[in-house]
Amino acid sequence: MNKTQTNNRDYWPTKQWRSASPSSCGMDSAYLEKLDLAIRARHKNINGAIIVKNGYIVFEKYFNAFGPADTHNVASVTKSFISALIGIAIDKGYIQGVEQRVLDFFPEYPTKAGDFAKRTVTIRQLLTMTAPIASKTVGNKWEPLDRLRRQPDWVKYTLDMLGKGTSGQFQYSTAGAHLLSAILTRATGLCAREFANKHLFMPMGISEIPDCDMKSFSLDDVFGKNVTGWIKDPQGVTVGGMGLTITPRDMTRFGFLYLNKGLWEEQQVISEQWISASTAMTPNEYGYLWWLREKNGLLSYSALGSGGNVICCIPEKDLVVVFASKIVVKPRDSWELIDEYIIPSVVTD
Amino acid sequence: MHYALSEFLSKGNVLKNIEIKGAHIHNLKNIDVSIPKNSLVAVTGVSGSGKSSLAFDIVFEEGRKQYLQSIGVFSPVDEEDGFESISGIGPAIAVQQNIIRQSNSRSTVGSRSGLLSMLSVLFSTEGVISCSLSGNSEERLPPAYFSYNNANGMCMTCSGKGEHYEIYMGRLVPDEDITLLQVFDKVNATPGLKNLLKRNFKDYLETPFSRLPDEIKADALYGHFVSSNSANNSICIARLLEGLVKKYGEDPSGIYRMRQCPDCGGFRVGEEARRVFIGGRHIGELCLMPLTELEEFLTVLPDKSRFSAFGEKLRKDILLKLSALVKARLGHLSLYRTVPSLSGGELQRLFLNDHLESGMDSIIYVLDEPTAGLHESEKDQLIESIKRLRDIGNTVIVVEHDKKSIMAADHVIDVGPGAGTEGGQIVYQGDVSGLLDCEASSTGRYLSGRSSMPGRAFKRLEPTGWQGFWLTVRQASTNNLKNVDAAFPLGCLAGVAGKSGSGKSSLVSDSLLPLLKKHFYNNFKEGLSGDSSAARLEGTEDLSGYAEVSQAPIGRNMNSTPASYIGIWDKIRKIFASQPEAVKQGIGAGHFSFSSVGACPECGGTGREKIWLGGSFFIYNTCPACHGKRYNEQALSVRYNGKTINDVLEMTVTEAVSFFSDERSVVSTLKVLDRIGMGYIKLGQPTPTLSGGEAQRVKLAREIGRKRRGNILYVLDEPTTGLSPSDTAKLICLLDELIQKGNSVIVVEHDPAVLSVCDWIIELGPEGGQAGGHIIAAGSPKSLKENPESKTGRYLSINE
Repeated sequence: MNKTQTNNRDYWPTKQWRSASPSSCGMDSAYLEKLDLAIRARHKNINGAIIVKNGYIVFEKYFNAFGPADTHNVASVTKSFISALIGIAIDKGYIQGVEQRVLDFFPEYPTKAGDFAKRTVTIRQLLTMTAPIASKTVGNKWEPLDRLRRQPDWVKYTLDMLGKGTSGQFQYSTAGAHLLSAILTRATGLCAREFANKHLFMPMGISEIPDCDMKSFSLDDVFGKNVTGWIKDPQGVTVGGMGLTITPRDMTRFGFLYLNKGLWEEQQVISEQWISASTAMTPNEYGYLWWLREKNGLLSYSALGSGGNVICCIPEKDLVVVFASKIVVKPRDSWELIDEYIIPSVVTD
Repeated sequence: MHYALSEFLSKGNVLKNIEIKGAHIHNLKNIDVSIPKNSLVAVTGVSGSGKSSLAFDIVFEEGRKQYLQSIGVFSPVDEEDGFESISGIGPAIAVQQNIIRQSNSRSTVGSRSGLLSMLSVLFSTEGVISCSLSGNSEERLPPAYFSYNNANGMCMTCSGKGEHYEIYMGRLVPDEDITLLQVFDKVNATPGLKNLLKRNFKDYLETPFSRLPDEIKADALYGHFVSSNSANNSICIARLLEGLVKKYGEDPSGIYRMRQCPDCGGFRVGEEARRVFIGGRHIGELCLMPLTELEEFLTVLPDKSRFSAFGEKLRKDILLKLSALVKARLGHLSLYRTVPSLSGGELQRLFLNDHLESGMDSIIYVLDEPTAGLHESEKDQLIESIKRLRDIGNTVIVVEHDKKSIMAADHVIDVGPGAGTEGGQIVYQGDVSGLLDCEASSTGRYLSGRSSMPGRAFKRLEPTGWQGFWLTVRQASTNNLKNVDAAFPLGCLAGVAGKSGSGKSSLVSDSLLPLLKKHFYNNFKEGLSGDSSAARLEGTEDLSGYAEVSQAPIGRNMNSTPASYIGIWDKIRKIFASQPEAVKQGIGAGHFSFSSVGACPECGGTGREKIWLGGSFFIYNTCPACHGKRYNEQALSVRYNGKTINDVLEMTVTEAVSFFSDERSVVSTLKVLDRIGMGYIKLGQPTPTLSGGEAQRVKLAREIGRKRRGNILYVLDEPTTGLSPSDTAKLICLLDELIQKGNSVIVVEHDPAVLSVCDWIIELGPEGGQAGGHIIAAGSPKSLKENPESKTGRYLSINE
């Protein structure tokens, strides 16, 4: 049974989330008790966990002395927010479409006559992580993020790397997502943070994210404990691939917006087409900066961030699952929590 | 004091021997050996006699294993030890030929010696950041930023190689009107690939390239990701050109050219590292200096006064290492010089250097032919270093064929008398003088001069000089060559001699062979020769082909065997498939392949099962299903002359020669192998386990087995590596026979025995590195002996 009630929600959590008992939403609370235990026992990196079923919070727990008002650096979960912002900018006509070329937005960037590969990179390729980009040369599994952090000009550095490598090959690139943020700024005149405040966060009741003052670009300022608000690069471009801090409840709002196909209260915040295009299954199991998954016939799309930060949307079950986590190296895979406790807990739709 | 120690020991005051009882690994015949510690021991014998089994498989493996176990590191457990008991063993270190030969171009003198990491740390801690571009931090760069092999440090444009291939658009698309079809036709690729390319772009073929949309241009040039082929890239111009480079070493049309990286300028590291200076230079500049210059630079370094204590200690450590390398005559190399481009001698010294400079004692060193690739005049110095290792209290075991090294040993163990089943016994043990008198030892007979090297049955060279054809390389200038012209007489045995690093390999491997390749494998288009070098070849019209026989490993695939490599395996499988039993069961040649349908279903044809113990630890057991026979029962049910297909894999070459005596096509190549002293290897021995010398001889046998018509030029790189004197004698006979049949041979060689029987010798020198690269002598061995300029002539022995 697929009864996603996207158009007839009985309330909207713009001001306040409402809670409901699991059983009233067709869920078996015994599983959720085990979930709580499992997080405490094996997922000590998780500081906050929220499950929203049918628009109601059925599970909300905080760990390690965290609470609902605490924000978390959600690392690469940021990328899915950038995806939404690009969609909104296209909806509003700031950007022509996903096939528009990246270099259209950087006319001052010099290319050589023979740089066809660089000139033809599109926004779609950046969104789907299939742009040719030289960050992963010879067997390096991860792009050198620390190297990006040390650049005087992150955008130029990334443009320099563009065009090298195999066009169309999936290559996860945080630098590429940053380029999308820069494109957004070039197209709209607002930085991604301002654009998000105005067009994405305000309609959903997510508190406005203030400008943060980057004193320096040390490890702590870019990846660590000093990250506040939404960090920006030395030119003031909001960092596109990481660096957003947000509360678990606001993360849940963002996931809920996607479950509702972009509709929030009376407003179509993001077009339905954009949401569908962003989350349609691909061979790489990656949409427009969203991770896609199909297991046992159940489709889900997720914003995933390093260390165990998750916004997982399961439309068929009308379910949003959020984990806010301390960024740890090699966290335990939180899919086991979703597969073993959360999905089985839904007994009737 | 050290000398007093060894004197003390030599008097036998301390019972200190490595005692091995009942050694029976491989072909060893249950032998008892006593190896005196703290001495220089030479293990000799013909190839395949079992000397490596003794030195490497027992002494080194057991020494390493016991040491690792004692410090709590798990080491793989074998099913059985190759001996009954061993005592007196200590920690062991081995330097083996087939380990140091490698082709990874990311491996350089700097990475290999550890100097690059040391310099990286020095730059990280002591480097001065010139203008900080970001203006907001003077944050130190971690050492990784100074390494071209690290993602943080490498120049992103060339991925740390300092150079990269680039499509020269001006040559590919010379004018605005040239159509895509014409562009495709400019690339010198096979018609099959080209047709594929044309089909993919069929809508655009008649459009001028200049007017194509950028997307089509990019796709035609560089392609896009596809999952359907191993390159994961659609067919495109760049792929065709890469194919050409792989095949011929370069793109003959000059469209695809190796260029110094425009971003890092050949310095390999990123901009971040190039902004950090020591003594006014960045790390890339230091890594391109010859080591002698680098040593000088770091010695007089004006900045050193500001260095921290740590930095100063590091600088001194770097200098120590550098001076050791310079002393080992490697001063002409730079830290960025790639390992595959080193000559055999340079490589050997680079690998040995660390150990020779080590101050540890009580270690057992097992060295595989340490003097291989060295000129006679350079051997003394190396032998001195080895003696020094012994003098500070180590045991040094050298597996050697070289006369000088054997003569320098305190103790000799001669294994033999023959190869394979005819070997595996101790022929002689004791001091060198006793070896020379030992009648049973072939090594002793050759060293004492009682056996002599064969002369040439067929000498082409007239006393007045060569009247026949010449093959001439003109204006060779690769590496250190000084624009030389080198003329090789055809139909002769020509030797190329000279000290290590003098330019022998540069002349033969880097100049002559690429030119031959170009000549024979390209339909050479006029006026399109590579413009990188003016070198050219004259006299090729008198050659009908050439064969390169290098020491590079045959391959890493454990399923590759000498039988498959020399091309007889298919024939043997067909023989088995034609046996009545096979016909009855209806099984074809494929069923006799252990890497195909014939494989044992349990182990997949490996003959062993791999048991994972967690982490990266594995143990191997004989496969319980096939008992190591690699085949399934069906394949093993068929017999030919009473033997199964697995029995054939277990046969030595010598055994196979008589077993297949009726099958002429099989036996002819095997006979060649047998005659060059390879009779002991098994048909099924995995080729990656062959030594460099063995691999080379298998290649030579294959080339000769091809029976090509006309005058074929065989080019051999140090073919005597790993050959005992009696095997060298066999090689000389074989080369002589090739010449008799109307072929030509060029050998790069140090062994005076081989050089002495050459018809002609070209000697490079006078020294290694920048002080070399000239032809200092050319002529018959006799003329070299009389030539005061020659550094090789004095070692030759001329039997008129």
